[in-house]
Amino acid sequence: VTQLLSSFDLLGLPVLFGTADPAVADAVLELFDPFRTTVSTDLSALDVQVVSGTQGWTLEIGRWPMASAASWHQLLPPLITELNQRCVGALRDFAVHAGVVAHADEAIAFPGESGLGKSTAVAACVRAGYDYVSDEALVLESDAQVRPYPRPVSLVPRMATQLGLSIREPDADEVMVAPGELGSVWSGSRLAVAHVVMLDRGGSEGLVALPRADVVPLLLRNSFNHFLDPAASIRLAAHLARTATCWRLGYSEPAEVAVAVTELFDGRSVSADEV
Amino acid sequence: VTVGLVGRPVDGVDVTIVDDRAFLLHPDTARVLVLNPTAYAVWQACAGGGDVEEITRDLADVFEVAAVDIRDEVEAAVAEFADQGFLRQ
Repeated sequence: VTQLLSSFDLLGLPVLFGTADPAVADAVLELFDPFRTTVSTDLSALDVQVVSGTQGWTLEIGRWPMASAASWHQLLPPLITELNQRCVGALRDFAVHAGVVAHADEAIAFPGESGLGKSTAVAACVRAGYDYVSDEALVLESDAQVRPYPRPVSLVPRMATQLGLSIREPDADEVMVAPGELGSVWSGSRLAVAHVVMLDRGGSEGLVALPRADVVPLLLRNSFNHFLDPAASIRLAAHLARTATCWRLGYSEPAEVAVAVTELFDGRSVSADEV
Repeated sequence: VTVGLVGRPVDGVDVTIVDDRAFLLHPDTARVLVLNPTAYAVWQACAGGGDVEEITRDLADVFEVAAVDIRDEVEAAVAEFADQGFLRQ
């Protein structure tokens, strides 16, 4: 069987992806394009395969079956979830559960737990013209510079349609959107967090200044790995709280987040029509 | 140990200040305490030893308030430091 191989580097986690189906290979390449590297024979790389059989399709990681489905499209969500968990789990840099968008060399981070609307808010900002950095993790190097983690974005079909994205599987519970399909992916050399915004979906107050001291526990609470080096994590969280401006954003629709992001990057009030 | 004396801070506690909050990181348990200015003043006073009454009197002078107004807060802070393992006898 001919294997179509692709290599990815997920923030230091090497992945070797293989499949015999060109359509699967193309879809995975598009979803993970920002992480693409030249195919190597790195024996430590995570071996990931999507294989077809008489019972349907199977996602294998390290030769172990992780998920099965009638259609390979249905294996994309578990594929992304598995790779995300392994990537974030292997991170040594301070990482916080957060959405991140950028403009030039400045980033806005939306820290918060799952289900807060980070992915949709980030997608709305990227559709409005800002650069995609991540819908999952704010990863900070020791000098507080941001490491981009532009993983594929998962959206509910209704929201994807609202954002003008094409949907291949309209009946699916979630739509996997490639970063390049969403819009521009940040590709500069140095990126610093200029604003930390705590999303408050359902709130009506718009942008309200947040005490800096509140941002430290917010970042630590949402960190994936502060326990690896607690002292360094607190120092980085405190550095961010001191150097970035901190906000709470009450909003109803994701487009309102894009409006607020424009106000923060431009330093002026804007109307929704301008975004 | 004299009854009433508060313990001294354990060695190696990492203190980070952001605006009016102090974040204390325990060196062994990695537990973090978030302190307001009064609680941080109590923490600093613990380094000097003494009991709750002495610390209360000292801080009442510093903050220019009546001792009776802050005694409960001092006692609660000391109890929290002790419960969380930030003080040694």
